[in-house]
Amino acid sequence: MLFIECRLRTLGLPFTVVVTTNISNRAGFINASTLYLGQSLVGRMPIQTAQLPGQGRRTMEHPGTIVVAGGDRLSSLPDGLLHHIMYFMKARQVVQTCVLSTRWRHLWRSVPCLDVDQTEFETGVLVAGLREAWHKFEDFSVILLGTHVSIAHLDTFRLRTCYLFGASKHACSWIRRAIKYGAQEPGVHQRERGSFKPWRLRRLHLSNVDLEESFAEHLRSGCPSLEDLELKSCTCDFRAIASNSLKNLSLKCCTCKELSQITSATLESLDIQLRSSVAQSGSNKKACGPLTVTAPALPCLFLYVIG
Amino acid sequence: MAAPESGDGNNGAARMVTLISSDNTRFEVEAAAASLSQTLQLTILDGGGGGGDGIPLPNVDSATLSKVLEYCIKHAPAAANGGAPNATAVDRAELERFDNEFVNIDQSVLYSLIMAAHNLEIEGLQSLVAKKVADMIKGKSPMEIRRTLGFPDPTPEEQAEMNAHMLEYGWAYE
Repeated sequence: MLFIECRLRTLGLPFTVVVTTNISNRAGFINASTLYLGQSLVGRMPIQTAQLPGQGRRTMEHPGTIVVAGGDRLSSLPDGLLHHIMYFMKARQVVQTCVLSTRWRHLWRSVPCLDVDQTEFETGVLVAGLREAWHKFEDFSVILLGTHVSIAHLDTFRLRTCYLFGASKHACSWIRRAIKYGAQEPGVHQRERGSFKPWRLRRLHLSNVDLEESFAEHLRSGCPSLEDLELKSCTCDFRAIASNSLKNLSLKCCTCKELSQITSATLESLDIQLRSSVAQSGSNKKACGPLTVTAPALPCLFLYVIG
Repeated sequence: MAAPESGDGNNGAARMVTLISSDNTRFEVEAAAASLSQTLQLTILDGGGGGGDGIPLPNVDSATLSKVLEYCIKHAPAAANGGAPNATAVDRAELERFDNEFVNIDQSVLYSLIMAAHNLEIEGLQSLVAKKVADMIKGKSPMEIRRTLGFPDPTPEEQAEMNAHMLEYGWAYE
């Protein structure tokens, strides 16, 4: 079912959005070569139709063998099911399961999904408490991602930091290191010659992380399986998001000073709620360039720009 | 918006299939409900399970199967709507209420359910139970988790080992 919802609130800013997506749905409802959406848009939004290749959906896999341990019944479940349970837990608690029993000792190391979330460390709202929480979270994340788990080997990775203490810049360096040294065994930081090894990731959700050009480059060439990318409150210092596998892309409350292109032949859902950088730059206002979206398979678009 | 795809060869009464649990109890259920199981779906599409035949499920006992089918029957209408984009908020709230009550059961039943959901490939049910177990663990210390999940009391050696591990993984216990 095709639906398009676009809302733009530009507050008189010279912000232009040009969506040149080739939209077609499977039933072939839309044949017009160009559609213009909404009078209130600053820029006109031509939407062209094209054929889209069919894409099969993958479901979550749960490899694992049954290991029966004495005592509790939970421990007798296969690894895949215990990992599925861990999917609903935050990273620190996942690591903490290692002391439960010998059955659980190494389970967390092979977990396919990790949710590294600073809120798991926060106990109060006072600044002193928040600072302490940040220090604990930083230590935890650096040790976990630096020596125990490689993002490259995960299926799903979520990372969320708070807005204080320059957390987003620190998180930026964790991501950069994971890109540079990521595909090797955890703890090995040997730089390989040539291009970086690809990540296996299918889902990546980052919240309040500064992202550099190297991240965009890695999306382009180092994440061949990535289907789901969600960036929330991130500062994106890159011009283009391009992928050959991405199906769902969501940019929420991100500051994208230079973003001018989104390209994915497989994209099925796009949700953009951008903060125009013009609003950030105060008196030194500068027009943003157009944002061009090229997504021939896109049946659904949500666009919201706040000046 | 009218749903155009309602006349899918379903004339009158819904098609029924028979499932046979490991302890030989027969369950007659609508094919649409049983098809929530990816494992059963293919067999049913091939015309299996109808008439006097029945589909044997040697890994699922009758108590667990009746619970599994209770879930499937409740979720079948929403699943038939393709993940329920047309469902009203009331429908969704009702399903959520059902799910919350559904997993409010004894732990041993939970583990039987998640194994059955895994074997029958019922993704929604597997996630529902996994989340319930995760919620039971969340925010608890290792000793509390052991108690909650019914682990036997640790022997002195095990306790010493646990303490040593907590020291080794101090960075996760700060």
